[in-house]
Amino acid sequence: MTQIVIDLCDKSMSALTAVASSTCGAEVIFNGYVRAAGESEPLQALLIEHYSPMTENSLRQIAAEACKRFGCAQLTLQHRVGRVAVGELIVSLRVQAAHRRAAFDAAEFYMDYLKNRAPFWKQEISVAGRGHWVEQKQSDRDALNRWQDCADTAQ
Amino acid sequence: MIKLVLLGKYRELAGVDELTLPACANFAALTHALLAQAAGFDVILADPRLLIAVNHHLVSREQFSANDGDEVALMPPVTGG
Repeated sequence: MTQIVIDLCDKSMSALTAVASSTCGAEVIFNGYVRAAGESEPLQALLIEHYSPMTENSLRQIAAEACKRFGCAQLTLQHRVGRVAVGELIVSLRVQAAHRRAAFDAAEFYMDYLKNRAPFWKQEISVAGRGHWVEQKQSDRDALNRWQDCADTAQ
Repeated sequence: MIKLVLLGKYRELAGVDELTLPACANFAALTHALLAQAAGFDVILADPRLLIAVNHHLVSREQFSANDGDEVALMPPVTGG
């Protein structure tokens, strides 16, 4: 039985903690934080906008696909929305699986799909108070493509 | 009528959060309706990475159709995580 938990937080959140398991031999936790260095100038915060009617479904679908593909037993995601100050957590992901490789792969797969599919948009707020919308990066699209290339090879 | 929602930088390009429009049988009809609304829509509609959702499901330009009561979202490429 796969367990998926998705949580959108509009206030500061704590990183997910380790959870001991007698069935899963591996657990991977990934935490993403707001860096002070923006694309063009130092930042005070990010504003994270989302399209609420689609967000949770999108995150849940990616989780279901990750768990199915890699055979994970448990996936928990927390993602911030709204204003997130420099140094604060944006995202915390915990994946549990029977073995290490599945847990690492599922965590990477999840983050690559989240960055390319989930309806979030980041706006950088500089120290001077200027807003700048972050553009999707080619490196993020390339990261997604490697999973699709794997699927193509497997077919 | 349909409800059109603009997300991220598209909201700033269009200068509005939401619009109410007549139903649109296809993407050409939507384009025609939006270009009559505000100058910023030409940039949005020309974006090859424009994402379109109808009633919270992604559709392609070719699949697009919106009936009375539908919610249409125009979304720039996503940047979460």
